[in-house]
Amino acid sequence: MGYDYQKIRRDAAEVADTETNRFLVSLSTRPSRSLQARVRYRLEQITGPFTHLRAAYSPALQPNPSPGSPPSPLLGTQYYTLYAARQANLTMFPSLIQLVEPSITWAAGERSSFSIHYRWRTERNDKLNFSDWERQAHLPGVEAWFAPTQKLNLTLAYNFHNERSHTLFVVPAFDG
Amino acid sequence: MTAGQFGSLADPIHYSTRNHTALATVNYTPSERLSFFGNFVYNDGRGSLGGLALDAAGLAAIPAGFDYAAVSDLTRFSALNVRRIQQAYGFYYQVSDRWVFTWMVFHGQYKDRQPYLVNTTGRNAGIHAGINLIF
Repeated sequence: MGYDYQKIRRDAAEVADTETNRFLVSLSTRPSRSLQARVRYRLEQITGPFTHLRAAYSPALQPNPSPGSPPSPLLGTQYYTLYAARQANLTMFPSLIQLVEPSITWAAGERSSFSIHYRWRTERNDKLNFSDWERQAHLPGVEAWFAPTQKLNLTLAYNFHNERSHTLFVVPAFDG
Repeated sequence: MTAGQFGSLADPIHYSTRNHTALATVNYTPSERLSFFGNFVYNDGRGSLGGLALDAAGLAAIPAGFDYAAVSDLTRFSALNVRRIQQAYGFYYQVSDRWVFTWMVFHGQYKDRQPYLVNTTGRNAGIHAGINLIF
Protein backbone atom coordinates (compact mmCIF):
# COMPACT_ATOMS: atom_id res chain seq x y z
CA MET A 1 0.00 0.00 0.00
CA GLY A 2 1.16 3.51 -0.56
CA TYR A 3 0.16 7.14 -0.63
CA ASP A 4 1.78 10.22 -2.06
CA TYR A 5 0.88 13.87 -2.36
CA GLN A 6 1.99 16.28 -5.04
CA LYS A 7 1.43 19.99 -5.33
CA ILE A 8 2.25 22.00 -8.45
CA ARG A 9 2.32 25.80 -8.26
CA ARG A 10 2.40 27.81 -11.48
CA ASP A 11 3.37 31.46 -11.60
CA ALA A 12 2.06 32.23 -15.08
CA ALA A 13 -1.09 30.20 -15.65
CA GLU A 14 -4.78 30.69 -14.93
CA VAL A 15 -4.83 27.50 -12.86
CA ALA A 16 -2.13 28.32 -10.33
CA ASP A 17 -2.32 25.26 -8.04
CA THR A 18 -2.82 21.57 -8.75
CA GLU A 19 -2.90 19.07 -5.89
CA THR A 20 -2.79 15.30 -6.36
CA ASN A 21 -3.54 12.63 -3.75
CA ARG A 22 -2.42 9.22 -4.99
CA PHE A 23 -3.30 5.91 -3.31
CA LEU A 24 -1.75 2.59 -4.33
CA VAL A 25 -2.64 -0.96 -3.34
CA SER A 26 -0.80 -4.01 -4.65
CA LEU A 27 -1.55 -7.65 -3.83
CA SER A 28 0.72 -10.48 -4.84
CA THR A 29 0.29 -14.20 -4.18
CA ARG A 30 2.13 -17.39 -5.05
CA PRO A 31 -0.24 -20.31 -4.35
CA SER A 32 2.29 -22.78 -5.78
CA ARG A 33 5.82 -22.76 -7.15
CA SER A 34 4.54 -22.50 -10.70
CA LEU A 35 1.74 -19.95 -10.26
CA GLN A 36 1.96 -16.28 -9.45
CA ALA A 37 -0.86 -13.73 -9.38
CA ARG A 38 -0.78 -10.02 -8.82
CA VAL A 39 -3.25 -7.15 -8.84
CA ARG A 40 -2.55 -3.45 -8.56
CA TYR A 41 -5.01 -0.65 -7.95
CA ARG A 42 -4.28 3.06 -8.11
CA LEU A 43 -6.57 5.97 -7.31
CA GLU A 44 -5.65 9.58 -7.98
CA GLN A 45 -7.75 12.53 -6.91
CA ILE A 46 -6.64 15.79 -8.50
CA THR A 47 -7.79 19.18 -7.30
CA GLY A 48 -7.39 21.98 -9.82
CA PRO A 49 -6.15 20.00 -12.86
CA PHE A 50 -4.59 22.17 -15.55
CA THR A 51 -7.45 23.71 -17.51
CA HIS A 52 -7.96 26.33 -20.21
CA LEU A 53 -10.46 28.59 -18.48
CA ARG A 54 -13.03 30.26 -20.72
CA ALA A 55 -11.63 28.48 -23.78
CA ALA A 56 -14.71 28.43 -26.04
CA TYR A 57 -18.45 28.86 -26.41
CA SER A 58 -19.24 32.54 -26.91
CA PRO A 59 -22.92 33.51 -26.63
CA ALA A 60 -24.73 35.52 -29.33
CA LEU A 61 -23.37 39.07 -29.12
CA GLN A 62 -24.46 40.67 -32.38
CA PRO A 63 -27.59 39.15 -33.92
CA ASN A 64 -27.91 41.91 -36.55
CA PRO A 65 -25.57 43.31 -39.23
CA SER A 66 -23.18 46.08 -38.16
CA PRO A 67 -24.26 49.70 -38.75
CA GLY A 68 -23.34 51.34 -42.06
CA SER A 69 -23.95 50.70 -45.71
CA PRO A 70 -22.22 48.47 -46.50
CA PRO A 71 -21.96 47.21 -42.85
CA SER A 72 -18.75 48.44 -41.26
CA PRO A 73 -16.48 45.90 -39.53
CA LEU A 74 -15.18 48.71 -37.33
CA LEU A 75 -18.61 49.28 -35.81
CA GLY A 76 -19.40 45.60 -35.22
CA THR A 77 -18.34 43.19 -32.47
CA GLN A 78 -14.56 42.90 -32.39
CA TYR A 79 -12.58 39.65 -32.06
CA TYR A 80 -11.34 40.53 -28.56
CA THR A 81 -14.93 41.02 -27.38
CA LEU A 82 -15.78 37.61 -28.82
CA TYR A 83 -12.78 35.99 -27.09
CA ALA A 84 -13.52 37.71 -23.77
CA ALA A 85 -17.09 36.35 -23.82
CA ARG A 86 -16.09 32.68 -24.01
CA GLN A 87 -17.72 30.62 -21.27
CA ALA A 88 -16.70 26.96 -21.43
CA ASN A 89 -13.65 25.65 -19.57
CA LEU A 90 -11.85 22.89 -21.49
CA THR A 91 -9.12 20.47 -20.51
CA MET A 92 -7.62 17.06 -21.19
CA PHE A 93 -6.46 16.60 -17.60
CA PRO A 94 -8.55 14.50 -15.20
CA SER A 95 -9.77 15.19 -11.69
CA LEU A 96 -10.05 11.44 -11.00
CA ILE A 97 -7.93 8.52 -12.24
CA GLN A 98 -8.43 4.85 -11.45
CA LEU A 99 -6.22 2.00 -12.62
CA VAL A 100 -6.71 -1.73 -12.08
CA GLU A 101 -4.06 -4.14 -13.33
CA PRO A 102 -4.37 -7.87 -12.60
CA SER A 103 -1.93 -10.43 -14.00
CA ILE A 104 -1.33 -14.19 -13.68
CA THR A 105 1.84 -16.05 -14.64
CA TRP A 106 2.05 -19.81 -14.87
CA ALA A 107 5.39 -21.54 -15.28
CA ALA A 108 4.33 -24.83 -16.83
CA GLY A 109 7.83 -26.25 -16.47
CA GLU A 110 11.44 -25.19 -16.69
CA ARG A 111 11.06 -24.45 -20.35
CA SER A 112 7.70 -22.73 -20.72
CA SER A 113 5.64 -20.04 -19.09
CA PHE A 114 2.35 -18.29 -19.82
CA SER A 115 1.18 -14.92 -18.67
CA ILE A 116 -2.14 -13.14 -18.96
CA HIS A 117 -2.73 -9.56 -17.91
CA TYR A 118 -5.33 -6.86 -18.13
CA ARG A 119 -5.17 -3.13 -17.55
CA TRP A 120 -8.19 -0.93 -17.06
CA ARG A 121 -7.67 2.80 -16.74
CA THR A 122 -10.33 5.44 -16.44
CA GLU A 123 -9.81 9.18 -16.26
CA ARG A 124 -12.55 11.71 -15.73
CA ASN A 125 -12.95 15.42 -15.17
CA ASP A 126 -16.46 16.29 -14.05
CA LYS A 127 -15.51 19.73 -12.72
CA LEU A 128 -15.95 21.50 -16.05
CA ASN A 129 -18.85 23.91 -16.49
CA PHE A 130 -20.33 22.73 -19.82
CA SER A 131 -19.35 19.10 -20.38
CA ASP A 132 -17.40 16.33 -18.70
CA TRP A 133 -14.09 15.14 -20.11
CA GLU A 134 -13.42 11.38 -20.04
CA ARG A 135 -10.95 8.79 -21.24
CA GLN A 136 -11.19 5.07 -20.69
CA ALA A 137 -8.79 2.34 -21.80
CA HIS A 138 -8.87 -1.47 -21.73
CA LEU A 139 -5.63 -3.35 -22.44
CA PRO A 140 -5.79 -7.16 -22.20
CA GLY A 141 -2.81 -9.23 -23.27
CA VAL A 142 -1.23 -12.68 -23.23
CA GLU A 143 2.38 -13.86 -23.50
CA ALA A 144 3.88 -17.31 -23.91
CA TRP A 145 7.54 -18.32 -23.69
CA PHE A 146 8.94 -21.68 -24.77
CA ALA A 147 12.44 -23.12 -24.82
CA PRO A 148 12.21 -26.47 -26.69
CA THR A 149 15.97 -26.91 -26.25
CA GLN A 150 18.61 -25.08 -24.26
CA LYS A 151 19.75 -23.32 -27.41
CA LEU A 152 16.37 -22.27 -28.78
CA ASN A 153 13.63 -20.12 -27.29
CA LEU A 154 10.45 -18.53 -28.63
CA THR A 155 8.20 -15.76 -27.34
CA LEU A 156 4.66 -15.16 -28.56
CA ALA A 157 2.52 -12.25 -27.42
CA TYR A 158 -0.77 -10.56 -28.22
CA ASN A 159 -2.03 -7.25 -26.87
CA PHE A 160 -5.26 -5.39 -27.49
CA HIS A 161 -5.75 -1.71 -26.77
CA ASN A 162 -9.24 -0.23 -26.79
CA GLU A 163 -9.53 3.42 -25.81
CA ARG A 164 -12.29 5.99 -25.95
CA SER A 165 -12.12 9.67 -25.02
CA HIS A 166 -14.89 12.19 -24.83
CA THR A 167 -14.84 16.01 -24.86
CA LEU A 168 -16.84 19.06 -25.89
CA PHE A 169 -16.60 20.24 -29.51
CA VAL A 170 -17.43 23.92 -30.09
CA VAL A 171 -17.90 25.90 -33.32
CA PRO A 172 -18.37 29.68 -33.12
CA ALA A 173 -20.97 31.08 -35.57
CA PHE A 174 -20.10 34.50 -36.97
CA ASP A 175 -20.05 36.22 -40.31
CA GLY A 176 -17.62 38.87 -41.49
CA MET B 1 -18.12 41.39 -37.40
CA THR B 2 -20.07 42.77 -40.33
CA ALA B 3 -23.06 40.49 -40.79
CA GLY B 4 -23.39 39.25 -37.21
CA GLN B 5 -22.16 37.03 -34.41
CA PHE B 6 -24.78 34.47 -33.55
CA GLY B 7 -23.33 32.43 -30.71
CA SER B 8 -21.75 28.99 -30.72
CA LEU B 9 -22.68 25.40 -31.41
CA ALA B 10 -21.46 22.70 -29.09
CA ASP B 11 -21.80 18.97 -28.76
CA PRO B 12 -19.79 16.20 -27.06
CA ILE B 13 -17.47 14.34 -29.43
CA HIS B 14 -15.56 11.12 -28.84
CA TYR B 15 -12.42 9.53 -30.22
CA SER B 16 -12.15 5.74 -30.25
CA THR B 17 -9.12 3.58 -31.00
CA ARG B 18 -8.68 -0.18 -31.32
CA ASN B 19 -5.24 -1.58 -31.68
CA HIS B 20 -4.22 -5.25 -32.06
CA THR B 21 -0.55 -6.15 -31.72
CA ALA B 22 0.89 -9.64 -32.16
CA LEU B 23 4.57 -10.36 -31.59
CA ALA B 24 6.72 -13.42 -32.20
CA THR B 25 10.42 -13.69 -31.46
CA VAL B 26 12.85 -16.56 -31.80
CA ASN B 27 16.40 -16.83 -30.47
CA TYR B 28 18.85 -19.58 -31.37
CA THR B 29 22.22 -19.77 -29.67
CA PRO B 30 24.31 -22.52 -31.30
CA SER B 31 27.45 -21.56 -29.34
CA GLU B 32 28.51 -19.26 -26.51
CA ARG B 33 29.72 -16.66 -28.99
CA LEU B 34 26.99 -16.77 -31.62
CA SER B 35 23.27 -16.00 -31.33
CA PHE B 36 20.69 -15.71 -34.09
CA PHE B 37 17.42 -13.83 -33.63
CA GLY B 38 14.21 -13.12 -35.49
CA ASN B 39 11.39 -10.72 -34.61
CA PHE B 40 7.96 -10.40 -36.20
CA VAL B 41 5.42 -7.73 -35.22
CA TYR B 42 1.92 -7.40 -36.65
CA ASN B 43 -0.14 -4.35 -35.81
CA ASP B 44 -3.69 -3.45 -36.81
CA GLY B 45 -4.83 0.01 -35.73
CA ARG B 46 -8.13 1.77 -36.14
CA GLY B 47 -9.28 5.11 -34.77
CA SER B 48 -11.94 7.68 -35.49
CA LEU B 49 -13.89 10.60 -34.16
CA GLY B 50 -17.63 10.20 -33.74
CA GLY B 51 -20.81 11.19 -32.00
CA LEU B 52 -20.90 14.77 -33.24
CA ALA B 53 -24.34 16.20 -34.01
CA LEU B 54 -24.31 19.99 -34.21
CA ASP B 55 -27.77 21.49 -34.01
CA ALA B 56 -28.05 25.04 -35.38
CA ALA B 57 -31.58 25.48 -34.03
CA GLY B 58 -30.28 27.35 -30.98
CA LEU B 59 -28.42 29.98 -32.99
CA ALA B 60 -29.81 33.50 -33.43
CA ALA B 61 -29.10 33.11 -37.18
CA ILE B 62 -26.94 31.00 -39.46
CA PRO B 63 -24.07 32.66 -41.35
CA ALA B 64 -24.73 32.65 -45.08
CA GLY B 65 -23.63 29.47 -46.81
CA PHE B 66 -22.93 27.47 -43.63
CA ASP B 67 -24.33 23.98 -43.19
CA TYR B 68 -23.67 22.76 -39.66
CA ALA B 69 -25.18 19.35 -40.29
CA ALA B 70 -22.42 18.92 -42.88
CA VAL B 71 -19.80 20.04 -40.34
CA SER B 72 -20.97 17.18 -38.11
CA ASP B 73 -20.00 14.84 -40.94
CA LEU B 74 -16.33 15.81 -40.66
CA THR B 75 -15.79 12.91 -38.24
CA ARG B 76 -16.12 10.58 -41.22
CA PHE B 77 -12.82 11.94 -42.61
CA SER B 78 -10.93 11.28 -39.39
CA ALA B 79 -11.07 7.49 -39.68
CA LEU B 80 -7.71 5.76 -39.41
CA ASN B 81 -7.38 2.15 -40.50
CA VAL B 82 -3.86 0.86 -40.91
CA ARG B 83 -1.89 -2.38 -40.82
CA ARG B 84 1.82 -2.59 -40.11
CA ILE B 85 4.09 -5.61 -40.33
CA GLN B 86 7.70 -5.34 -39.22
CA GLN B 87 10.30 -8.10 -39.36
CA ALA B 88 13.94 -8.19 -38.31
CA TYR B 89 16.43 -11.06 -38.51
CA GLY B 90 20.08 -11.13 -37.59
CA PHE B 91 22.82 -12.38 -35.32
CA TYR B 92 25.22 -11.37 -32.57
CA TYR B 93 28.79 -12.67 -32.62
CA GLN B 94 31.01 -12.12 -29.62
CA VAL B 95 34.39 -11.40 -31.11
CA SER B 96 36.08 -11.11 -27.70
CA ASP B 97 35.13 -10.50 -24.08
CA ARG B 98 34.49 -6.80 -24.77
CA TRP B 99 33.49 -6.66 -28.44
CA VAL B 100 30.27 -7.91 -30.05
CA PHE B 101 29.53 -7.77 -33.76
CA THR B 102 25.88 -7.34 -34.80
CA TRP B 103 24.27 -7.83 -38.17
CA MET B 104 20.57 -7.45 -38.95
CA VAL B 105 18.24 -7.17 -41.91
CA PHE B 106 14.83 -5.62 -41.42
CA HIS B 107 11.72 -5.13 -43.51
CA GLY B 108 8.45 -3.33 -42.87
CA GLN B 109 5.12 -2.97 -44.64
CA TYR B 110 2.60 -0.26 -43.86
CA LYS B 111 -0.85 -0.42 -45.40
CA ASP B 112 -3.18 2.57 -45.21
CA ARG B 113 -6.57 0.90 -45.66
CA GLN B 114 -8.58 4.10 -45.53
CA PRO B 115 -6.53 6.92 -47.08
CA TYR B 116 -7.77 10.49 -46.93
CA LEU B 117 -5.91 13.22 -48.84
CA VAL B 118 -2.68 11.18 -48.76
CA ASN B 119 -2.22 7.42 -49.03
CA THR B 120 0.53 6.56 -46.57
CA THR B 121 0.95 2.96 -47.75
CA GLY B 122 4.61 2.03 -48.08
CA ARG B 123 7.51 -0.25 -47.25
CA ASN B 124 10.86 0.10 -45.61
CA ALA B 125 13.86 -2.19 -45.65
CA GLY B 126 17.42 -2.01 -44.45
CA ILE B 127 20.58 -3.72 -43.35
CA HIS B 128 22.34 -2.89 -40.11
CA ALA B 129 25.87 -3.83 -39.12
CA GLY B 130 27.55 -2.70 -35.93
CA ILE B 131 30.25 -3.35 -33.41
CA ASN B 132 29.48 -2.94 -29.71
CA LEU B 133 31.96 -2.31 -26.91
CA ILE B 134 31.05 -3.72 -23.50
CA PHE B 135 32.63 -1.82 -20.61
